Amino acid sequence: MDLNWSEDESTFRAALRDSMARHMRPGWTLDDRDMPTQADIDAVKAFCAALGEEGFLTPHWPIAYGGRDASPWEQLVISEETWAAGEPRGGQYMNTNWIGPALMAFGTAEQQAQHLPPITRGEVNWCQGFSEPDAGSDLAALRCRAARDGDSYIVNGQKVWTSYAHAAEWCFLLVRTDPDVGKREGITILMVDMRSPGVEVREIPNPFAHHLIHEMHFTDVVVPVTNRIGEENRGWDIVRSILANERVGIARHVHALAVLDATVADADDLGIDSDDHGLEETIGTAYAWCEAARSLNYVAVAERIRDPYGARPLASVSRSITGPMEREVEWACQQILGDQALAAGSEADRQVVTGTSSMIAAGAYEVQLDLIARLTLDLPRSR
Amino acid sequence: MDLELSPDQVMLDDIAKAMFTGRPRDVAVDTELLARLDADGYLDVLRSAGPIEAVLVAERAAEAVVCGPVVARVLVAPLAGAHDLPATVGLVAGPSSLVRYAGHCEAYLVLDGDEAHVASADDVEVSPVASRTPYPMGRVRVIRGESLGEGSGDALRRAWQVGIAVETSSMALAAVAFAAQHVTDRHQFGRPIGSFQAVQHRLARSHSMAMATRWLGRRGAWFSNDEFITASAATFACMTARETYDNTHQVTGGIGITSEYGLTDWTMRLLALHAELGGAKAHSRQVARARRAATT
Repeated sequence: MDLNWSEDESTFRAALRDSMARHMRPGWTLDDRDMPTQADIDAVKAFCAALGEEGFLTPHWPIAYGGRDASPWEQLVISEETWAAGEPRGGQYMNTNWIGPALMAFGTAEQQAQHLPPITRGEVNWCQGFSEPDAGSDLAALRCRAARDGDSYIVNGQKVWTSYAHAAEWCFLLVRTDPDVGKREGITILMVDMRSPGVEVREIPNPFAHHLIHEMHFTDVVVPVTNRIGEENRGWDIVRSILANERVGIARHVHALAVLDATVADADDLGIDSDDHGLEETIGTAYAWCEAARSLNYVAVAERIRDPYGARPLASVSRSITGPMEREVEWACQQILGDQALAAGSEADRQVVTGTSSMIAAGAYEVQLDLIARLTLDLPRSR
Repeated sequence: MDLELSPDQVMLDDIAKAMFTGRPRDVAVDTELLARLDADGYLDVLRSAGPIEAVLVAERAAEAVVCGPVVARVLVAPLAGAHDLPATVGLVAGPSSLVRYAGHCEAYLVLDGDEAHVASADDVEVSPVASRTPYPMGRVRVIRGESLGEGSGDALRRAWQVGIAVETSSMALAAVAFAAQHVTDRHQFGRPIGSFQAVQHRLARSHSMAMATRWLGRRGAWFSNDEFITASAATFACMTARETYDNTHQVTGGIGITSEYGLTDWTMRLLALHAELGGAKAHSRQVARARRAATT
């Protein structure tokens, strides 16, 4: 066991920081990650293209696919540095972390040749069409229908809560191809060109952020069979693998620490006594949550290295701490600044968005607890 | 970074687990075990092998609720720079604080402002204090002691915080596993109570917090000069102790609070750890101050 970053990892981090400093749009914040304006979409692509050019976008990918076989620790370094900077990759972290790897594992040579190079070059935005109005935490209950018609599928249905849909050229879409079998057995994965006729993206208004969430409607959308990943009706196995990757290595703790630092600095500027004992306890407790989340994030990465294709119970353990951490930091910021936290634009204000969504998005907190109960504590099934 | 135990560390962990299993729990201090640990070099494993090795021994001792201040001697004292101590060491935070194993130790490590002192059993007066916890408790008045030098107080505080995290994590994980078995076996409403989501989530949450504390403790031992990490470890340990105490007792009901059942072997010790060294209030304020010092 060696808890220090290795010399290579530290060197990589320094080089990445240098690259980011040269290519990031000045003043970028986590608000911009949702890409609410065309300028933000352009900034994400320019940033990712520059990172790709310098080898910092997909270094953890195999050499054969444009990476250099870097370790998952370097992947985590990328996540720590980009999250500390407000995630200037926008939604492209999904491309590099699980959409690309899913294509490597389950895609055809033609699919890989078409889609992996643009990802490594930072040229393309993807979104993931998972949740539906009646299939959220129970994702396998999805109903968006794809009916086979010769060499194509005809897709009809709706997806909801989709991030980055307005900026995406491609969608990693889960559809039901057989409604007459068990709910996990009739699911297929399609890659859908978002410019296809019949695809409609609508922003869902909310008080938190512009273009935070969207709904996608698919009306008689024609998708070539060649855009299917894996076998028909066998998509759920791939989804489980993807979700395991989705749960690992998002370095939210680094951003949460930065939010707390900034909020304490804001308190100083406003003349708020953050050395007050009660506030100090609040602040210290929130920082401790960040360190707890960091510790388990590292443990989850180690689990991924040890068992890349296993069930990954520690990933759920990690996520069950990360979500509450974001909420803890959110409320600590509110307590530190009081009513001043309500003014738009501060880190404390932005943390309301992050804190609120963190225990909902990408697998609700309660789902993680269910997984821990089942996979780690071996408790009896509830039904 | 490498979070995997080396083959030697795995072997040490296995040995420690075997060594601590089945020891008597009805004695103040398991002197026979302490003597064996001393003779076989386990008490000085930090100096001979490293901080993670010391943590592994401490984790197993805490998990097995070994009677005696093993964690203080194996982990806290050497992390604080106090070596060549006798087998039993008590940790003293001040003249009015309650000290675990008071009156049963050959030496005491005393936190005295900026400095730490070592006092022998002959250099202190012990006033026993009755306590519900399984620990022999007392107040320790130090008559004379030997200073460990400038800055040694902070070093002892940091090391002690690591010890709190390491002990808490092991006891919490053990308590959760114990309660998990209970809710699997216990049927109500025609099904195991562990099949109810409300019960599952309580234990899952405690397990996650205990795992976070485990790795905070390990990182604290590794980065023992970093007050931000050690104080964070202790702060989170206090939250874990409370969460685990509440949740394991809630799901085990009446049987859980009996001496016969065994859950209180861990939970009543968690209660003591939760309060040590000023508790969450003191630890969390140190976290905030350490971060402020590092960022301004």
